[in-house]
Amino acid sequence: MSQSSRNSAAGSDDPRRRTPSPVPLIELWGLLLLPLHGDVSDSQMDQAGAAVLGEIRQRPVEGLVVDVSGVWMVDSHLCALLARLTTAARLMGVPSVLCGLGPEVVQTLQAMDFDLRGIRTALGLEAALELLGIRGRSREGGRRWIAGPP
Amino acid sequence: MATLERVLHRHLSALNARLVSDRGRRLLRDPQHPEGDELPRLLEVVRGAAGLFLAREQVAVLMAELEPLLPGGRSLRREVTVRIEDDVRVARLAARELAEHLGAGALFAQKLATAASELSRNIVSYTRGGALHISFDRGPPRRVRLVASDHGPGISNIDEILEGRYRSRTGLGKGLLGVRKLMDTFAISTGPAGTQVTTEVCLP
Repeated sequence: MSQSSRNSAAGSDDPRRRTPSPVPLIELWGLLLLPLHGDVSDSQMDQAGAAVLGEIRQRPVEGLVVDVSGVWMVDSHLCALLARLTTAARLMGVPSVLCGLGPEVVQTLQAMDFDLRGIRTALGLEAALELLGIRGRSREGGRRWIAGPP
Repeated sequence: MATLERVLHRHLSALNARLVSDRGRRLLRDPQHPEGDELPRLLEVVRGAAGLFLAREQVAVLMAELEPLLPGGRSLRREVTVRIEDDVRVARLAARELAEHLGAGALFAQKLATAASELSRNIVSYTRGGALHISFDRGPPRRVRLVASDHGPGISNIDEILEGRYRSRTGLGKGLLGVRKLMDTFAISTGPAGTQVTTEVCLP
């Protein structure tokens, strides 16, 4: 099982600058996994977006998973940034799945009449991986993940 | 003590308010005038006693109203100067913090923070700066008010936006309409001198 992780941008050298920590971008079985966390800033999304598209250009990537389970608030602005990122990936031929929207986030988005139509969503990371062709298999009581077409 | 009793009266019957304040009074060196160092302990006793008569969420609101009495206590207002993107984050965190402070649930906090985020985002995107005021109004009904004001150029197509006929590429209309749907009241005045949005949401 190979898994490598890299930062989507080099950290700032100047500790006085209030630079939010860069979002990690994880390579996993030919997929890219972007876990967003906490209060996501524009600059973090910019960095993450550039890193994702850069990776897609450099190597064959079969899918992108954006996991927002750690994000506490999604407003119209973040919605637009997420839609832009997944659309850009699709334009480069990479399908993406957004997962981990919490109940309060979903209810708030609905109350505002926002929809994330056009973005494929899944409940959690497992479901997102399955949508992108990673199958979970039971084996000797344990669960093992196998890459390949479903 | 007079302030304490006044606040207690808003939440409890006269008899129960009296019971709670008497229980607190017993701690004090001078029963009419609590001294600064006695206040935290006094509020703890009041919290415990009020819990006999009120539900947990009601106690949270009561305590939130009493806390400004403490020296250095946090008031139930927040004011955020909004100029750059970081201020949007400060504004939504302030809104969430106030909601949690009032003992509101996660969904209420989420809605309030999202509305605060949308309104301050508009200020950052379309004006040179402004402010967001967040305040609790004990009502009835108990509610939280957001007032976003700026001295920007005003929103010329406001009617079009509020009627939902405007499909925005930038997100201005979407955010404003979203806030109106999210909150219980919504009023906007806009002109060449600036824009002010006042919106309220009632606590469940």
